[in-house]
Amino acid sequence: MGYVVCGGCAMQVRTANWNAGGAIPCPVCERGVEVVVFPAAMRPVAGNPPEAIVTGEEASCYNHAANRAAAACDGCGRFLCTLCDIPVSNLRVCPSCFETGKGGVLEQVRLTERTNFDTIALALVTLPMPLCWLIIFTTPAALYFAIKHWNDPSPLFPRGKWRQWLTVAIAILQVILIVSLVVFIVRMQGGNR
Amino acid sequence: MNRRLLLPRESGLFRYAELWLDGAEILYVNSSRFSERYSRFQIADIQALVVTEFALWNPLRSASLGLSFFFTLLLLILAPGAWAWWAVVPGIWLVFALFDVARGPRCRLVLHTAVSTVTIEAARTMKQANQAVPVLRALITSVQGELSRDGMTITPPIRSAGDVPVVKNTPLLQRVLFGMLVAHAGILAALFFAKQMENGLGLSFTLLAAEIVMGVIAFNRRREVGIWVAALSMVTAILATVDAGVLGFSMTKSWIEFFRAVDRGGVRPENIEWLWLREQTVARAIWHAVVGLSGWVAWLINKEPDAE
Repeated sequence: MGYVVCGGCAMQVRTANWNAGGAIPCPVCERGVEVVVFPAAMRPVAGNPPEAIVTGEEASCYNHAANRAAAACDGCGRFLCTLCDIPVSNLRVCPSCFETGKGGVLEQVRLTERTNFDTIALALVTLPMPLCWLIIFTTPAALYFAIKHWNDPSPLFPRGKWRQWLTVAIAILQVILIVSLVVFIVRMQGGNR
Repeated sequence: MNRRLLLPRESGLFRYAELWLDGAEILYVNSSRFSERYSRFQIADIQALVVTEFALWNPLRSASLGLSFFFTLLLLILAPGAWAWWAVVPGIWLVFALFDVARGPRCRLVLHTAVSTVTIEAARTMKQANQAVPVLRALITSVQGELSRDGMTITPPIRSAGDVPVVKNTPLLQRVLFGMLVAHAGILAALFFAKQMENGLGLSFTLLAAEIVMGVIAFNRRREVGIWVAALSMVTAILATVDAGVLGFSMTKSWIEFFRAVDRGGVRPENIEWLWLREQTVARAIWHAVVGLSGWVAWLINKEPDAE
């Protein structure tokens, strides 16, 4: 492991202060800093360095012509050196396939981000309520998000559908309110004539 | 789903962060509520945890507390007759400022692996860090063993990751909700004995609306709390909805009767007769006291940490 820094001033914490059993004042900003280091920090850096091509008959890496190929990408079939070889579950892929998700890589890569469209829909249908006129625009948008993403999977943390149901119920009430207001205004104008 | 929440959720209005133990990995969830980002760390790969403590008092916090206190006091002195109306905004600000101070000194918890350095937002106060670090340390040493201070010797692990305790706690929302129920019951009881029950109707209406929202949100966070706290949160939401319905109906009917009487003539605004005033005040105070106190009992039972 290289070094760790104080979270207040980014000053390097001396190795003598690691695992001190409590906070040690930072010599620069004087904030208490506790550093707990584990055995993994003492492990040598993993990974094999790439080997150089010796004879002209050897396969070379697609990205590094001077490096000997160590594997073929499961996405595009290109030869890869140990630098470019990315193990993903039971696959070995090149950086570009990893980035684009080619060859079923995306299914293998763990989910790292999720957009909660149900929360967005509920916020759209509830937050603009104090500004009455805004619901003319936000209600259709909320309905769109709620219905379009009705069956979105929630692989990590199961999310109930109550937000979508609530969005639809409030949106229907708002639509009824808008239609009633329009009918009321039209009738009033008709009555005035 | 073999996943355990390691720490109580650290949440704000538009964010929350959680740390989960997921098999041989620590799953860190950082959410803006509209989107969630997940980071996974193999327990065997975690190299270090760094906690930096920040002072409780900084210019912004001091100014916030001072100004909110000053304006609340000023309005209480300038408008003693209407304090409940005018002092409410700086009063709410003061409550938030006091709550912010009560959370104690802040900190930054950083987790290092060979390829990443991540600030863990699930522990933003020293109180949370003091819970988080022993749990994470026990978890990591159960897989990697312990490193001596000089970094030369490694003590092999003595227990498995599955045996590592998790911190059980009732999040703040439930505590505030149950506290609010008890306070609401107390206010109603005071108004009952002072024979000023009609003065509590507006306040009850506002508080019931807040109780419904908080009860639903509290129940929605049921995975962080015990079954009884979650059930009582739901009971609160249901009873508050029914109660708000009764209150709304009785107020509407009272107003209709009042306007009819005004039409007939001879009725002054202060002579409005509230429907079921005594009965609903008593019933409301009782259910608030019972559910609020039960909630506190459930929280006290649940709050004992499993951690050693």
